[in-house]
Amino acid sequence: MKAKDYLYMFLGVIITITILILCFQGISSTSDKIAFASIIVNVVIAVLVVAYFQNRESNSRSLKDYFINQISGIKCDYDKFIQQIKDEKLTPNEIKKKFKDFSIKNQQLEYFLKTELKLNTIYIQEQNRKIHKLITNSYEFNNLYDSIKFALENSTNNELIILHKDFNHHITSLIVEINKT
Amino acid sequence: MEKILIRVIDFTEYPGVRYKHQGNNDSGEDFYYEVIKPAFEKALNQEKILSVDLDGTAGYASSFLDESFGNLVYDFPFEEIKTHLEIKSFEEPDWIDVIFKETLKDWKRKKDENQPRKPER
Repeated sequence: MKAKDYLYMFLGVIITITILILCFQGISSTSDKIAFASIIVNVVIAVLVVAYFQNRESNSRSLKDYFINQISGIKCDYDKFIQQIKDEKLTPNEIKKKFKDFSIKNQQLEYFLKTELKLNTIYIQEQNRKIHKLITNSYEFNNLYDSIKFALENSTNNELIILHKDFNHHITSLIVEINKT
Repeated sequence: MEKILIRVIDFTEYPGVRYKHQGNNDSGEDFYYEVIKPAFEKALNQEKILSVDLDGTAGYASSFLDESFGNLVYDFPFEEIKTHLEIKSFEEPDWIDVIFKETLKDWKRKKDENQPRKPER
């Protein structure tokens, strides 16, 4: 909730209480006054409770949207990275550096997903590491390390397709999980 | 137990690949024979833990780490490796699990099957 919303809510409560007090002054018996006062208190509590939960829900949705945007960004960048490898646009050194960048981003994201949304079944970094090992452990990567151009062999490329598909599957599953929390 | 601390970045900022003949003296094989093996021997003799910090480099090929630490299995008792080796990484902590739960176990299986540590060229 924005500050403006809080202000309107506060003004509404004050006006309601004022009207109720004016009505209260018209009541003569003590028991009627007590009953009337309890109604005022219950109304105020109800308003505050609704405001609290509405605010919490709004904050929770914002947080989920933030994480979903972050994950979508990683997916987009990762898809581009894998395509660059397949298109022979990266040297082995560049590939290593990019894997490290992704590794750090993934781990930071996983940390906050675990602590803020209590999600424990997150496999983005695990899947990234499998792809990293496939490529950097390959015969062609190790034997063409000093080359400007680096091309995957067909067998490595086929395995990469499967692992990349699994990576994207985990990303999509994670987004679904976040929406369910 | 006291520790002997070494950092990969002191050996090279740009760790290479697996074997000496594939790189520019920055391979996992180079790192093992020049740094890890003598340091681990020293740690065992002095009853200390060898602590290796992986941070600060420009990133790793998994073959570099595999060769750097897997070779320990062929030169030292497996149980001593588990108790006297520590890997540290704040940047990529999952490498620690990869080395202890995969690399060392894979190399032990290779050694138990009497495979040579390095395939013939």
